[in-house]
Amino acid sequence: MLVDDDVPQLVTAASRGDQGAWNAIVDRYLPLVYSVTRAYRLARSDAEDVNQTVWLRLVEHLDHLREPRALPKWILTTARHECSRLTRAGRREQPVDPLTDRTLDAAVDDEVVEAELLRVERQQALRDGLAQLRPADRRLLELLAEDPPRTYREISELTGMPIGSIGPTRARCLERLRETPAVRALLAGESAAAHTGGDRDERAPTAQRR
Amino acid sequence: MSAHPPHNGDDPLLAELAEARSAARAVPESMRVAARAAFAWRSVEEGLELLVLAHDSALGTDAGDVRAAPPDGPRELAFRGAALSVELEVDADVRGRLVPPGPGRVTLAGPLAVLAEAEADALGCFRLPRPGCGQVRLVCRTEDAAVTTGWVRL
Repeated sequence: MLVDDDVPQLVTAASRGDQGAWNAIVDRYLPLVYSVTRAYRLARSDAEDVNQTVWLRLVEHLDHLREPRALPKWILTTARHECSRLTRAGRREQPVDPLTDRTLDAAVDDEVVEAELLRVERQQALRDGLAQLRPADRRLLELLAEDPPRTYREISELTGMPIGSIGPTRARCLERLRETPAVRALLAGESAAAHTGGDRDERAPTAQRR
Repeated sequence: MSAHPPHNGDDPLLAELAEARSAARAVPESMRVAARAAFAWRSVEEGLELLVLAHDSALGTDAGDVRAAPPDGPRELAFRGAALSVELEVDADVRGRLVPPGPGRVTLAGPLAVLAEAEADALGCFRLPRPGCGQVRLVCRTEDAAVTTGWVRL
């Protein structure tokens, strides 16, 4: 999914017992775990449960991660697994209506979840890409991506950059964001999927049942 | 706002970046606290052999599913290790047996606190209260071995 240059170092340090490195790993990938629980529409208590399980498992597996660069993928997979386990358990507990086509219903739900998960993965890659930029580039993009958006005048005041150069700099920063290892890996994955006939388009509106 | 027309894909990319950042801000603080606290288990695990879950009657065909209860009877679990294994029956409470049989000390722990402790008798048998929801693990110490199960819901 993505690579980040200092992730292997963080994993090594955490596996030596460095709580600071662990916290950095948590800060980086916690949004990924949380977003996965949102994709599965989990209730808050279930989301907390999944979150705890993912991190406890990671503590157990820290020394056994064969490829620290695969960490985000491991986290994503573990979170998905835990979420779908809870979702299936929840479904089983619901009274079954024999007139409902539950199989079809579940399939549509899965499609919605899958589309949402692709978005979650893209967002993590963008956050990682942002972290891989030079501080000045990152700062400008963060200001530009604020909600509600800041005016160029405000950004000029905050950065000392002339208003006239913000536009071109913005374009260059976004280009450099596309060139970060994290975003490049993402885009490469997506164009490969498109090339092989890409079985889905995460931007396509998906019918939501129920 | 600007005299410079942006690259075609720039606006969507920036919009997605904004979404990505706001998704990160939406994470509840309690989850950050729990995730950071999980690291405390690292020191606990040092010197403990991590047992392998060899059997769980609740798993059925789905290796990841521990919520499904068998139709009747207590849930049975077996954790295997090199020097010491642990077998559990979970019903109204947790009855366990150390294998090979022998005395020892068994601790039932949640992610944040020790929930209960018990002594295993000469036959390795022990009894613990059944924990509520959430992940737990059993840490067992005998004269010859110190082991822990992985995280599990009982």
